[in-house]
Amino acid sequence: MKISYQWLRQFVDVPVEARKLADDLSMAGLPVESIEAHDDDFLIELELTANRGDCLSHWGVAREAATIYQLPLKAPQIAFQETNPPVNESATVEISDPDLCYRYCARVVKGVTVAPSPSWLVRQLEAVGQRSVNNIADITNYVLFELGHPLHAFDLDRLTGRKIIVRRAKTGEHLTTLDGVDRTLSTENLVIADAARPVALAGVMGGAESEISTLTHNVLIESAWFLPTSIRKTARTFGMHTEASHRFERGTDIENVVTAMNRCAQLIQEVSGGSIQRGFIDCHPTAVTPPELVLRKAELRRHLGIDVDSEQVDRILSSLCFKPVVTQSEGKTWHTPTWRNDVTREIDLIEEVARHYGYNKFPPRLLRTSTLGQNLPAAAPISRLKEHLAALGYFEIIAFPFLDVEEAARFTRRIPVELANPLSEVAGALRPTALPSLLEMVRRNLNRGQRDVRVYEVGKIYFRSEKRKVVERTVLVLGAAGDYRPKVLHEPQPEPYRFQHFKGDVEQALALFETPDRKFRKPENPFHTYRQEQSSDVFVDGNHVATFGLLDAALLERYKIRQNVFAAEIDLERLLARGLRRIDFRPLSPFPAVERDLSFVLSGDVSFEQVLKTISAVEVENSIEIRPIDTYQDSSLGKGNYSLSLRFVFQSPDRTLVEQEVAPQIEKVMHALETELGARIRKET
Amino acid sequence: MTLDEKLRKPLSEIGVTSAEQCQSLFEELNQRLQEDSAAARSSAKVEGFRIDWLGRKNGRLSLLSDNWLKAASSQLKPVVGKLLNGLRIEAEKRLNELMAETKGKIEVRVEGNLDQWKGEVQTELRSVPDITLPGLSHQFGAKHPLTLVREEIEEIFISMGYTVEEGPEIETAYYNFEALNTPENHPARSEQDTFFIRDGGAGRDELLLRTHTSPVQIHTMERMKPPVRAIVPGKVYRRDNPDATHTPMFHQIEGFAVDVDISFCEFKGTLEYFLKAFFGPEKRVRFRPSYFPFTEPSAEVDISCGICGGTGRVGQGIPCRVCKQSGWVEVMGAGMIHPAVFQYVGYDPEEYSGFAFGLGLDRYTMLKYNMPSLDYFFNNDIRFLEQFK
Repeated sequence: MKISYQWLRQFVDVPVEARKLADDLSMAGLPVESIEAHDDDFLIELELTANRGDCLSHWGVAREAATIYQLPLKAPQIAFQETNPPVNESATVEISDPDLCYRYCARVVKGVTVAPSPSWLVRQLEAVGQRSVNNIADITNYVLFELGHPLHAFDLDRLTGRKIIVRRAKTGEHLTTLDGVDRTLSTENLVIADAARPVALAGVMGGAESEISTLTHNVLIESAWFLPTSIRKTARTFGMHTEASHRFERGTDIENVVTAMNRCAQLIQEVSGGSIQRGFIDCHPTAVTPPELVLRKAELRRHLGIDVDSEQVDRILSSLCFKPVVTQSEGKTWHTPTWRNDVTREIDLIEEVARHYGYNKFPPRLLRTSTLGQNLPAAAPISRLKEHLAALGYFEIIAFPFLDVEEAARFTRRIPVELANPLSEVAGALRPTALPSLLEMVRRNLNRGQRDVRVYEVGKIYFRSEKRKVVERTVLVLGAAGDYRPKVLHEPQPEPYRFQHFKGDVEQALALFETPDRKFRKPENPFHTYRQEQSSDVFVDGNHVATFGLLDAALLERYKIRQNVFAAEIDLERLLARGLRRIDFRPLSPFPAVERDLSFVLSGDVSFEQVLKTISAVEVENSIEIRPIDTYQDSSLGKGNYSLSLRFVFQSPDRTLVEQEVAPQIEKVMHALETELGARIRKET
Repeated sequence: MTLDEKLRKPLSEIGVTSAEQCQSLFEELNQRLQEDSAAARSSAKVEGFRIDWLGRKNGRLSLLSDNWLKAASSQLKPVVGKLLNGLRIEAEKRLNELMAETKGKIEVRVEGNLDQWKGEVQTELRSVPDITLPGLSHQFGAKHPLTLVREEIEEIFISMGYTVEEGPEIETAYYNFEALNTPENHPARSEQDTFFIRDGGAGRDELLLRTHTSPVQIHTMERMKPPVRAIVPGKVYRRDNPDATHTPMFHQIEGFAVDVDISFCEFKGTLEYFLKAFFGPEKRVRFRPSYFPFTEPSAEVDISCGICGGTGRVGQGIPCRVCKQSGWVEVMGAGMIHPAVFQYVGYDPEEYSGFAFGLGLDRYTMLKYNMPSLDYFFNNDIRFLEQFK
């Protein structure tokens, strides 16, 4: 809302220039968005918070300014001549739904001349961003910006029966509002009706049929109090937001109803002539009683931390028009002004004191007691994981979790959680898998000319359980494309990513956690996400913890990626539940280690896992490490066979091992491999 | 007895008892080494040289170590050890030279159990290395900048005795609004455009994507009794079309403290401490009255602008765009926890008081690295991400 500096000065003698005023308003809780020079005036754009509906006018802002500068307020002089007959001979008002309309006042001005507004009025409205319509409509608008209460002017002669009925609309009733839109109403909507039909959408916008026109002679001024939630609902239903609805939604001052109406009548008479009928209609079925609030000195101190001088407290509250009712030893009881519907509790009075005392005058202090600071249990493992992945060359990404439902179905059977109001259809659900967003990021980076891409995300996936409950689960996804070791200075031979490289990355991530017995199995791969022969599921203690491998060519094609991409989906919550790998200290032997290599030929259907299992069954004494060092296939080995070389490291904690001790161990292994797996020993070194 | 036969027997059996005898034996060995090395002129012969001398199992040096050194008398042991070491160094040197002659770049693996040393020797043929050329380096990745800044903020608060808490991103209307003193049809609800879940129920149980991290205040206070000091980092969602300063998903860090002795002064002191710890001790901090349904009194917190130093002007009077000439940058919404919120979680508002604040992690990261736009965070361009290595 724009506030004119000069207009404001009609109500309070602001003792500072406009820019200083803007600062001071900001520091008192009326945030200033901007300030601009306008002719010989300054316009201050206020960005008021939702609780301060009372400041949506020059008069409202003037009240705050008067408190800031400790100055008196100058109310506009409202005085006019009334003419017989009394108003209730010209119109009647009836409120059928007093739960939505607490008060409805009306005045009638007869014999007006509808014409363009005088220039002062046009200028004043334009300054605050309002277009001039005609002198009557402009006056209602002017009073809205002056006193903050929305008014409406009807062409009295177009109201059937010269009657106003405030009621809920009937289902299916129609009303064409001033913006020319025909609206179908429901019982949710409060309307102003005449004897025949709705003539205005209460508190939001008037109707076209009763609009003031150049043919209008007699005007009925409406000034009413509507229930904020009702107005808000109606405005939302129709997607409307008007100066009137904005104020009614925030709550208007039920006492200002009469003042604003009188001010409007006075100005209409001044600007467009006519005679104001004697008296006004005041239909006031529901009372609003502003609360009386006790402000205890002890509470003020407990919340603010210092003793604010009582006289200062009294001055601030009185200046804001709170009235002291009772004074007791613990504190005073204050009567709340009718426009301060945001003040309903003692704490609200405390805030009034604090903001006009000045937030920045309170001394900063730290808490005097100590408590134990702690991060989430998962924080340390995740942080270590991220450091590990960085060391492996991976960059962390963060993606939006929105995903097309159909795309999700190409990756997973999980039931996605759909949004009722997505930004677009392709962002219609929350991802039940983090793979598509990862792929999208890989694609973008490759498109931007990045050759080697290694990225990961630790993030959530979302889905519905079988019982339709929403579930959030933290996962880790990895993606790698391009070269494992790029061509660089000193290293002219690049090494493209292969399955083994990527498996190594995945294993290192898994190995951070307590996963001693990792089983790699051909993946189920129900959605053909991976290339079957270059992918794997990983199980720990029979639980699936990961799937990884080279992505399927058709899938990559769909993402317009024309090169190999490896990816892994890891159930991080399962790993976190297992915890970081325990570190068990092992004393170092001072005696030398002995290495022996063993090479043998195996049939292609024997896996390394079987070899290890066979060896571990024979209990190799003093063996501290068994590691594969070479494997290859060659026609000389026989069809379908392959060669595997293992390195055994022997070491004793208490002596130097001699050949005679090591040899029998190797013999045992050789024997077991030969008999159990049909291995043919090639050489031993 | 040939030299090789001697190697398979302990020294005592071949009649060597003095240091002088050892010396001459090793001279003989060295002579043989030089002859072998001179004869190795092809890569196959070089490999033969390696196996003969440095082979792990039957290489001469291994045999020497196993048979001579281990069985040597205590008096001869140091002598043999020293001579053996000298011979080994000579053998490795010769081997490296031979391999360098046959290949451009070589890697020599020398193993033995003479002593504890084990490992690889790498040599480069390039005669004079250009020390100004960059070295070979491993390709490192990095954490996302939002993670870096989140961890930094977490550390500051953990050091002040705060715990870190978390909560679901898919929330109910009760936790996201109602228990935060924002009932249905409250004007503050329309300021936040909320994503709702399809088939997400109705009323207070209606499911939505949380619009702020504040619901975790409620979850945490329902679970714990005061004193509570906690921060809550997390993703939040608002139905904004993306632009330089808006994204439908962004990150907040919520914080709150509840105890019997927390006033507006402790609220101010804590936030000032944090802001100076994060943005720098030279920053000035100010509090402006504001409004949030779940705090009272409420405040916006500003720090002096880091770009113009709080003057509103950069260089020769150019208006500062970061603070829009105000000299101040808004960094936080905060306030004293509203007594109504305490009533929702069953704390006695007459006994306890506290403060709460919320900050935009994305914005803090932009300020810290002087970034103009939010896009960078979620485009995940590696050229951007690698700046945070």
